[in-house]
Amino acid sequence: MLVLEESKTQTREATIVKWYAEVFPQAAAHIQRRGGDLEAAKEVFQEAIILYYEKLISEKFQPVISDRAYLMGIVKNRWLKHCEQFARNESLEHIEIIEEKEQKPLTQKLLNYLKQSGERCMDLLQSFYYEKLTMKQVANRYGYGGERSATVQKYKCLEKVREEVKQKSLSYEDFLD
Amino acid sequence: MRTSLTEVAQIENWLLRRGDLSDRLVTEARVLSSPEMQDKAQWQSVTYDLAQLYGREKLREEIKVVEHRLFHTSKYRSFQDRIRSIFKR
Repeated sequence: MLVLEESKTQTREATIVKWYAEVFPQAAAHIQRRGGDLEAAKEVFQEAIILYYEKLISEKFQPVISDRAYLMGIVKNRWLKHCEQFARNESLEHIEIIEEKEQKPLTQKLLNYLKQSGERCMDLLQSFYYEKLTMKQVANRYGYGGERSATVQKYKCLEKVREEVKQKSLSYEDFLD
Repeated sequence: MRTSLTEVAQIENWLLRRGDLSDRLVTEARVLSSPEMQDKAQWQSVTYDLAQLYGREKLREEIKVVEHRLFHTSKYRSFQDRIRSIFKR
């Protein structure tokens, strides 16, 4: 059973490989029995990993059952939702729908912009706010002298990105979704 | 730490409800009374959301790289055979 403490000491990549090796065959079999193909199984499993990972790193979560059980629970739930969505689309098939060209949301535009212009800062910020690493771990990962200099850099990045996001948002036509 | 960074830190503590409560109340009073502070707090909050989304996309990319390796390198042949046999049924 891979629990929170272990996943923090292992690399994230090793954890993902382990989940694929131990759980994906069961997830694939579940989806295959319900009419899904390999691509669908891969897609659902990716989503399950993201959801479970986010659960694991949340402060309040204390796993009480195995990774396999959690992941399979999410896979079953996601597959059910996928099927419901498919059934809904099928029932709408005969209705003429005027397709509108999808407007790219501002959030995605901002993310694309930040990926290109501020990758280092975004990497640092996500390490702290998404991966929930400690400042000591952030300092080690990015080669800062210590927690204090990593903290200062984090605030510098926050200030810089905040200003870029504001300027870019105001220059785009649409609104935050 | 320069003054503007201290302010970033104060806004963070207020938005994320961290740190000393009385300090947070002081920041809250500043945010409520200053349009400039309100603006900064609003965009800082958006920045946190974007950092979350950025992190999630990075994880998704990492998963896809791992998945590609598992399905396309000879080291994982038995895994590939196992999965293939499931979809041959």
